[in-house]
Amino acid sequence: MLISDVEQLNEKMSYGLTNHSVLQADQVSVHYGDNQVLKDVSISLRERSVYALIGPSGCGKSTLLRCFNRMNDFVETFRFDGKISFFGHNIYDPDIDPEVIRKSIGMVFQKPNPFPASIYKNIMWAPKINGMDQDWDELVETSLKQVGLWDEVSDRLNRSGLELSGGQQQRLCIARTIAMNPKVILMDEPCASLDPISTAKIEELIEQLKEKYTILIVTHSMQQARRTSDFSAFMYQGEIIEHGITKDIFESPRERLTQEYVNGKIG
Amino acid sequence: MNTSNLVLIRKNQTDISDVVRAAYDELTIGKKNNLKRRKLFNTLFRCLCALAVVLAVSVLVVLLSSVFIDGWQWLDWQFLTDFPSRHVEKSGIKSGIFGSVMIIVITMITAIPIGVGSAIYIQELMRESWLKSFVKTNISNLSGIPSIIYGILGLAVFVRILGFDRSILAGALALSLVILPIIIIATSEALAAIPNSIRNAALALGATKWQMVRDHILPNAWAEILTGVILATSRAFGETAPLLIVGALSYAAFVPEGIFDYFTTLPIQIFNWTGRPQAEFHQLAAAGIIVLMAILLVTNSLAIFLRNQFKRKII
Repeated sequence: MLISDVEQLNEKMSYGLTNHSVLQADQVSVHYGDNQVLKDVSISLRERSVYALIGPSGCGKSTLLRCFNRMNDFVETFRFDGKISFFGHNIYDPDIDPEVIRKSIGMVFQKPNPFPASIYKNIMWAPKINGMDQDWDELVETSLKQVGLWDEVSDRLNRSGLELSGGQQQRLCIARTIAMNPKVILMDEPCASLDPISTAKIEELIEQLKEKYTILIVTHSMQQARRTSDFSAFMYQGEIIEHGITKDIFESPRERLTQEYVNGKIG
Repeated sequence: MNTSNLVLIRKNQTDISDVVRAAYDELTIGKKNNLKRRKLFNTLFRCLCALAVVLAVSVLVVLLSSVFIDGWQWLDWQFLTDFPSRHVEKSGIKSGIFGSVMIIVITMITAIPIGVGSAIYIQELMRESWLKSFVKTNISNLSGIPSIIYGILGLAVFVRILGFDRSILAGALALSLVILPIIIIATSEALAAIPNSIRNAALALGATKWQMVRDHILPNAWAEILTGVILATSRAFGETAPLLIVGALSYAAFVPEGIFDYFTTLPIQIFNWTGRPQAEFHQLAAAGIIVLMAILLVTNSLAIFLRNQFKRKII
């Protein structure tokens, strides 16, 4: 899929197909060597919603998340079966460049990882190397404003991103991702290394960002999943046990395992 | 207050005094037992380490001062600008200086790109496999091979097969072989020190590996890479054996004009003078050593200055 294709799709999207499925995993199985970590996982993400992946450590949530932007490709022993569709295109199709996928499906990591470079360069680097051409000053300003960081850093855009606090660094990483104007943002435990106040700010930000983006968030905190997400999926030992509206998952789960997990009996 | 409460208080009090007594016992027993011994060993260890430093430094001081005492009198402008001669007072190191500088420049031009390039390939692009560990292990082995072996290889390949004759080019290529493993290892370590989170960040933003290496890995690794290059340069500068095998002249009364000219280098000139029976030539050798060290000091300080300019904070 070429960048122009994605842009065409973006145009189609703006004609109001709001309940369109943005990302869809069909019977995804993943092996690392002989070790099967995902078993026939299927999930569909609708536009402009927040999805939470919950489940105990090692249940495959992060692996599933990384399948969506093909970050698992860098794992030597990774083997993928099944299909993941992004607006109907299989992202594991041999003639699709993973770089294009990663431009449209951004990712925020567990530990804030700004580049050891200026705040300005942190934002404009990715759009630049992806061949976007626009007013960088404006892009930096709008991206930082979207994450509420502009007022805090506008006077020191040339200082290193590493001089910021942990929470600010994580918001910088989110700004860096949305500067590429992605459709989906994947978040891998984005608040795991942050203090409660920074966490609250990120959660508030997620609430705002869902007006423009589809967000898939992996979290260990059930409270966070409850507060931030519209839909949740509970994973256990490589399978999605149950998924649905977050309120239902937490208040009236159908499966016994889900009930035990959300009540703190397992995991 | 009833009796049971009183009993409780008294019980607590005895508890507290027990704790205090136990702590006191522990402190005094500790003193009697082994604390003194441990402290003694600590002092002993410190003295031994200090002694090692004193030994190393004093050997260096003795060596340097004897070199300075021997060579100082011969060190003048004439010594730097004259060619070597049978007559001590007319002898100089002009041909050696020119030869050394030309050799080093060509060695760096060939060894740095190949060394840094190989390290990037091994560290950043090669898939994990037995081949990768095989290659890495053997590069470490290569760095331990005596340099004279590389001289023999250079003689066979560059002088004979490729027909470069006993030229500056042949000598520089032989020296490149000597320092390539050093540069590759230093660069690999510099790259390995870059945290994976930076790689992930770049790749997750849709960068290709080349864009990641160019914009984020190399700029953050340059300082460390430069350190390795400084070490390698110093090594190449002082290297004599492979150049002798390749056929450097031990007497050259001319300045090489191109990379295919015959040549001599400073260390070879010094080596030659120390082999003469007359004591005056030994003093000339000492003067040559002073010049060699001065050049090394200046280039190293320059490189360290550059390295500090490059140095950036990562995480």
